[in-house]
Amino acid sequence: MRFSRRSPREFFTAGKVARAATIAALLLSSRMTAAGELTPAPVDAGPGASTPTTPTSEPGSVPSFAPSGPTTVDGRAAAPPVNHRVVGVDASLGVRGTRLTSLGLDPFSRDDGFVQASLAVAYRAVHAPNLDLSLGFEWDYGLASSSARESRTSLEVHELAVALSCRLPLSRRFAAFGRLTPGAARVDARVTDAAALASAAYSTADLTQVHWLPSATASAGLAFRLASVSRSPTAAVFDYWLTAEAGYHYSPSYALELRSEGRPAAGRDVQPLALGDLSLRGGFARLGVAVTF
Amino acid sequence: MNEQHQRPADRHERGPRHRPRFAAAGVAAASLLLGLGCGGRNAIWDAPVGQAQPFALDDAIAIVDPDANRVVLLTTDVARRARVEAVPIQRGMRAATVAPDRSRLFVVSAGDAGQTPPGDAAAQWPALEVVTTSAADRRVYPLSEPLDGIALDPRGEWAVLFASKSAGGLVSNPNELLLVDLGQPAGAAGAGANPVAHTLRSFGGKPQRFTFTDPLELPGGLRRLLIVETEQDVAIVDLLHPAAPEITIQLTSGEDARRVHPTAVAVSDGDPGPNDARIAIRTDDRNVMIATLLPATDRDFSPSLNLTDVGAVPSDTAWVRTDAGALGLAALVPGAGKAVVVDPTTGLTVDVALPAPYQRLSLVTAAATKTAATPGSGAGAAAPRPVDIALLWNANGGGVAFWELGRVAGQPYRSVETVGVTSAVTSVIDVGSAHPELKILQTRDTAFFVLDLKARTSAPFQTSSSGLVISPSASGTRAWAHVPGSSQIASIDLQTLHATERRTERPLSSLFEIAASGAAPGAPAARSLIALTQTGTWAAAIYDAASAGDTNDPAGDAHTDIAGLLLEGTDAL
Repeated sequence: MRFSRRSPREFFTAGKVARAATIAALLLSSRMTAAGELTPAPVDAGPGASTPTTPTSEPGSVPSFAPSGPTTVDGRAAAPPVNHRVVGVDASLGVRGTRLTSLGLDPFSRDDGFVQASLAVAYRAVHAPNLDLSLGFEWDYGLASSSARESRTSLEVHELAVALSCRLPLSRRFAAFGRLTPGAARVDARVTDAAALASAAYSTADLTQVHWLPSATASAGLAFRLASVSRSPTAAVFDYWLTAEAGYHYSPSYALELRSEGRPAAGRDVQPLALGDLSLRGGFARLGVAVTF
Repeated sequence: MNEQHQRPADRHERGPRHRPRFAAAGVAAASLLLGLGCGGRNAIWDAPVGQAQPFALDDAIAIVDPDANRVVLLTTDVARRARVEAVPIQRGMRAATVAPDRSRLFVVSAGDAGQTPPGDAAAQWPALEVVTTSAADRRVYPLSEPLDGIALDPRGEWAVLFASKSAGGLVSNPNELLLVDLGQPAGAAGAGANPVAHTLRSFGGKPQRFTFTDPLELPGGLRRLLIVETEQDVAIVDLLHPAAPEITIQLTSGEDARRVHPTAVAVSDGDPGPNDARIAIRTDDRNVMIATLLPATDRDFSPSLNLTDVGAVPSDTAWVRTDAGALGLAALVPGAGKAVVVDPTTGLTVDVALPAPYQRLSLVTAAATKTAATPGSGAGAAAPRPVDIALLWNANGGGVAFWELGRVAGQPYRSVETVGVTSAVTSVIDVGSAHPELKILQTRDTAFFVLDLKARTSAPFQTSSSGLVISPSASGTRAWAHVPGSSQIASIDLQTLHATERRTERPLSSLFEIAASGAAPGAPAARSLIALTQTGTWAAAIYDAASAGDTNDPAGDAHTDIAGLLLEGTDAL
């Protein structure tokens, strides 16, 4: 059994996992390449677990490379105490799917699903034995594209939010977490139409609308720790997580009114294309990967 | 600390029980993520736009959008604001046409035609739908058959539906007609049935053209008739008794293997009184048949036929008033370079030599009558008998001429006056309203003419393209011209004959003038000029018609631009 100074509680930003998968993989890859040796990954002993002792392996742990000397510890073995550095940063990357039943989404998507990539970075503001509280930022990006009556359409959404999250360790590898992300969304709706006025000669003719609106999400989920890796007894321990969460996304509905991009012209009034109301609210689920250190 | 050290052991004990629970939660989350995409969208978003077709109502542009099963109504107000309303129609649209007075749009649909309706939609059956800008005036007439041909009564009282060549059914009877009384709501079978089914007795032909007559003084009273031309005979349906058997006039005797085909009919009520209403039937041989509707024993009226040889195949016929108001049938016979006036009572003919082989004839009596006083027309003199003036023209060259029927007798050579138009005239457009004396003559060349019937002048206008489309404004004060695909609009002031030009931002496909709502009380009725672009999902530029047609109006270029017309209103469906 291996112990690490880092417990599941230290996992931060539980959500936003999926997109982090790529980043996490890159991190793992780079560390292995630099070290040239694989060592068993540390396994957290639970809330408050500390003082890893001896490098060892444990079934289910993810092997990683230790550059020199003991990098992981096992609580059952007699080994010199280590004191891993705690930075308190949580980063996550995930994929969020939101079910949007608003009719306003129909021109931009053939179904009710809206997929976004989530990227979050946070700092553990409170680190207690049974609770971590983190504060950070989250950026979500989604693009739905389709065609509406033979015209290409797209709906691009950027969301920037303050992420407030808490995490509770449940077991050696599992933790539960909850998140609140109040923020703002920038929605860019676009219809490429041959009859629209182009902004310049030879350019694509689009009908567009860019709209800012407040948004917020509330979610809860589970995190599964894949591995813990550290270079040395004093170096920071990197914990890698898989996360799954579900929640609700809210933003007020607004009227979709798209206008030609054409350059302003004297005597021309533009009457927007009304496509009904768009509401970006609905339940969502998110899968992701996270790294905490 | 101790508590923390004990937790791993606890977890080992609980682990086997909890892991499946966590795993299940993870699977549930993944399933939820995958399932978020469930739910489709309205099929209208995937519908193509290629079949959409615009029609001009008096107060709206009606875009029939069959792939989306709807009609998009574009209306405007005095501030050039557009309002787009989508009116659902049944599936399987077969035909659409506008009433002659532009008040209504008629849409014939087959419904599901026996096929399974899409999705959870309720089954739909064949119907004639009447679409107007007023929801209260919209009507639906269920049809017994999925017909696809429609002919409208110019007076707006009747519609006849029939199976055209493109009916597409496995088996259809082209002689089965459905007569719809547009003044009445739909009714079930029985005395109040509407539509009324009427199957023509056929001798091998099927309907080609339909003519609704004005009210005629017939032996049985004032009646309106529906005259159906088939390929080889003519049927007369009494619209007072639409279900009653029709009268069939066979143009070919049973002893003749050669078939004579009707090419047109002309109807006259004759003089006041019931026994002189006549139908002239022009055929593709050298004879003209005149049917006089006289009393009969077994029905209210019956045709008495008189066949007259005019020397060659006539190209056009019309009932005219000649000297002393006498009724005659004028027939143009371009093959013989003449016109023939037939006395309907005696069958006698008078030939009038023409300076050119004119093919078409239009009566322009009221518009072309000169107002100058003539000897004997002063106070106390008897009112002159009506004498018709006909406009003669030719689609193959030869120009235009006026034919004064009053001079036929005795002075045939002086009865025709040519006008200096040498191009082949393809169509004659009535200006109406403020200038009923004006006609616009379209030609095959890059020119058109504004013909003044009173002054007998023809003003030529040169154009840059032969594909010019000309339409007079509703007020008759100007005419609009454009070439589909270009971005130029020309306005011709019909008073000064001054042409001005404006450019639109997009290439325009069609140009319409419609009434705009919201005019202040007492103010003149506002009208909008709509330049429609039928590419993509369609767009429109809306101008104030009065300003756009006024060269000196600085607001002439002001317009409202709206794009994505075929995407509008889809959220309401």
